[in-house]
Amino acid sequence: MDTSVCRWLNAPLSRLLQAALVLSLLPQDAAAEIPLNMPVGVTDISRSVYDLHMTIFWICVAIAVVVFGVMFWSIIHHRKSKGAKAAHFHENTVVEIIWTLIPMAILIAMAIPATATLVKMYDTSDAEVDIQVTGYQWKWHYKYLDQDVEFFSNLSTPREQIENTAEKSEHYLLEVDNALVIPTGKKVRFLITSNDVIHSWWVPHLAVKKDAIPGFINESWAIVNEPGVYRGQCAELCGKDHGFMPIVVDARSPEDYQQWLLAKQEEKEQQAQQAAAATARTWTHEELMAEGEKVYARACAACHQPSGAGMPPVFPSLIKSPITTGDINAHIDIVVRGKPGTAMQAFGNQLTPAEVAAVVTYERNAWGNDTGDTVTPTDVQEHNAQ
Amino acid sequence: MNRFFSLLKSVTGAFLGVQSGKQLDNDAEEKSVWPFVITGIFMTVLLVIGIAAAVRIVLTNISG
Amino acid sequence: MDAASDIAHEAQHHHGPASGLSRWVFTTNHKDIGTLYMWFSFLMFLTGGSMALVIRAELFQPGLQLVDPGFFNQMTTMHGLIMVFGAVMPAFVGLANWLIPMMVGAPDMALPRMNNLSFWILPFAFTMLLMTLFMDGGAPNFGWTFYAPLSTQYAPPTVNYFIFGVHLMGISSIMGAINVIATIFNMRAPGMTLMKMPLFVWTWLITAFLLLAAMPVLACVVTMMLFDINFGTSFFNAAGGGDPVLFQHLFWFFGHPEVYIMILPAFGIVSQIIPTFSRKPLFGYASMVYATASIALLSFIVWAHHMFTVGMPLAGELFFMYATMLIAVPTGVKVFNWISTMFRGSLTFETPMLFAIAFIVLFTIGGFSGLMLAISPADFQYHDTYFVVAHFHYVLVPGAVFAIIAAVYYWLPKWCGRMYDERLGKIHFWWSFIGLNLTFFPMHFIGLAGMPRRIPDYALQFADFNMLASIGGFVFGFAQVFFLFIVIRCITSGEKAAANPWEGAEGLEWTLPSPAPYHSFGTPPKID
Repeated sequence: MDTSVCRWLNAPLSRLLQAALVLSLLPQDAAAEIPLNMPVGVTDISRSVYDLHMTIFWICVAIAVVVFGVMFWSIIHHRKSKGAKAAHFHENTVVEIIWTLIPMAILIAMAIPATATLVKMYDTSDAEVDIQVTGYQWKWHYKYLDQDVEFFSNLSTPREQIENTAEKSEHYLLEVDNALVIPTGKKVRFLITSNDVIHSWWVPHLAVKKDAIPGFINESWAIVNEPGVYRGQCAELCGKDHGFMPIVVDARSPEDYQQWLLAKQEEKEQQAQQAAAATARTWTHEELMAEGEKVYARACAACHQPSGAGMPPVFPSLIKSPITTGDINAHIDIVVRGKPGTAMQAFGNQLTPAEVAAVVTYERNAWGNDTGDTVTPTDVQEHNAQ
Repeated sequence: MNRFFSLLKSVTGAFLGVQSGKQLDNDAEEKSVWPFVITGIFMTVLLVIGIAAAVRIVLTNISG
Repeated sequence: MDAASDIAHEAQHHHGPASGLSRWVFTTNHKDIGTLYMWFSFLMFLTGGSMALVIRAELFQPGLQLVDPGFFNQMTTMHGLIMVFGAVMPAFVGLANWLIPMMVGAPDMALPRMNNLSFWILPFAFTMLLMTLFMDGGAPNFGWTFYAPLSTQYAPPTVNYFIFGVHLMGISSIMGAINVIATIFNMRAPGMTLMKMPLFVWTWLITAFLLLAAMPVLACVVTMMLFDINFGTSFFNAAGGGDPVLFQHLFWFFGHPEVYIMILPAFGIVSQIIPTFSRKPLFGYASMVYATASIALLSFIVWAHHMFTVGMPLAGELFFMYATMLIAVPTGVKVFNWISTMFRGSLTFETPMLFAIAFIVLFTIGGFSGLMLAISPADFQYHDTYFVVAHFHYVLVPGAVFAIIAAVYYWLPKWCGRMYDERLGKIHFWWSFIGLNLTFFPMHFIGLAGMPRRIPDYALQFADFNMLASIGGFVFGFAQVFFLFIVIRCITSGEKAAANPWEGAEGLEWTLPSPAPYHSFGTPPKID
């Protein structure tokens, strides 16, 4: 605790100096380190969005120079202390009409390129790759339609970095366990929806931001020109860990993408085999507890807390709760099927039977619950079959 | 009829943000505010229709 | 007219204020109620402000240091709700109470008992809202825009207190609005025609109509939430055949006029102050009145520009983009009018004028970023980032808040009969001005660089500007404590103020002595 407080007080000074430097030098050379502007991005669309942004920005600057120029002229020259006598004009229809028409003309001129870009953004036809993006509290799920590949994408920044007990890595909070891999040069369509509350899928370099709304499917698309890793975040407040569900898009050449797809499909088969093996083999209570602790940290701790105490009443405590100390089947059921209308998701399609068995065993014995119960993967499978 | 045009001129002026004192004196002779309110709402509806029409023209030109 | 004889006359017929607490609880006097509103609003301003400082302290550095993400969300939500409904709106109602009767030559508001009720609802509404901080599950944590289903199915149980709190605030606002309208339409002194009314009165009249039209929509939305949560309806639940996007349409149909409710009276204040210190009549008074009315009407047809990313059809997207760009024109015209008023005037820079000039400059910057946000394709990049946070804080803090502060300095001599300390006022101005820009200007950069709003922790490239913003936030916050000191010092030991302490001020309120007598204009003044 002491060291973290120390760091908390120490680091700011150097950062402050750095920031002061950025402000005093012109942005140019520092821009590489500290971004000041919207990224140009890596798609044609993101480029035209950037151009629109800069155009309207310079229009605003030009208007500001004129308007504030007149204002500061008055402030400097028409002050009473300099003996200025007030004039008495208070109306001039011609001037008023002119200063109404000029902005209107500028705005109409601005509306034309904006419309053109918007129309392009809305043209989702002829996509070569379709990916369904589903927001969950608080992770993303990607499903490659037609490819039989799907996976969850979780924040991979370790808890210790967030809690300031470890040095923060380069991509702090912008890194995930499974990135979304897409091919370059191909039109990729994103079908965006949500499993619970409204999220928003945003990758600045792709100029794609679309709300993920439960019960609705929104469309967006991108053709990425350059291979690379592009990072974004959820942009719509979606509850406690809204700030901890990043998006990482890994754009690869079409060949590499194909290879990745094959590897992913193979991996999926392997995982299925492993899961089957794990379900079939016999687990000792200790093995289940050890595995369960890991699964709990990954899937449950965000809401129910590492201590199991939860954040009642929204995220109930698991300590001596009716679920974790009551009927085993009810416990398995709520893990597998979730509780509709609450943040408790259905984990049946996220965890293997062995993992469910492990986490249920762990929850029934950790934090002084001490039921002594052991739940085996077979129990879970039998439950699922019901 | 004249009165109607005067109202129209006045409300258009309001939408643009331009109004003259003379027009104001004209308007002040009006006894009630309701003609202005009704004309204002009417013009708002017209504006909505106008913008919707502009959108439709843009869209047909693009797809057609 | 002879104000002094009026007062002598009135003194025979009226009693002074009651003494002690009952004066404030049972008062029907517009000045007392105005004072209550102002102090309440300032209390809420400090409350909401300290929540903002909790937010800024947490964001001082990357990583979680002070609060957990759940509590952070409660802070952003409560900060927004308290500032909008507790600080800015009551302050404007307070100013309306104090000033409108004096400006139109009326003895009091038209409906004094309702006036008392509409104030005394507020402390209960906000107690109810603030109480939730200490309840199981914590305060509302779904943002001041409370999008469903986060605010319905997934909300903490305290959401019901929030709903009733919002209902009470709505009732209070509607009663306040009715009172303003009734006063302006029925209580004007003979000869005070509509077109002779000061701009502050005009802007409040239009604001009152906006309130009447917008607040019921808010009441509907929260009632629908109440039913979804407690009575099994599915207005906003897709699984039950409802529509979460419907919530946003309804909310912003209230929300966008609400933005103008918070800025139109500020336009009015600035339109009073700029001519006074320019010693020159307001340029384009008629244009200003008419443009305000049209802004109010047009504010009802642009709401969905807050929702460009929900996946509206292309036609809807284009409609709201065009409409939003058009509404910028009458607003821009107002700025031109203020500047033309200053042009070739004879300017002095007392504290109210400094705040008014800062209002024009900084509100215009907020207007520019608003114009950028109107461009729908670009909005896909700006939406829900710190760029938006920068935008609406530039519109609301140097907009609404600076206008209120300017109004306090400007009319304080009239209210308490004493002058504030000009030197301290200027220090307060520059202190606030620097703090404000330090807080909100860097937010433009971090927003463009990709930092979403409402997050308790952020990636490393946003660290430096967040630190600057946090420092600025504290600088600005403490400047407002200093403001409290200046006001109290003025009330207790300021120099005696003349009936009209400003050389260039015009209007009926300045014909009354300072401080304004407890009952004024018992006999209507004559207006030439």
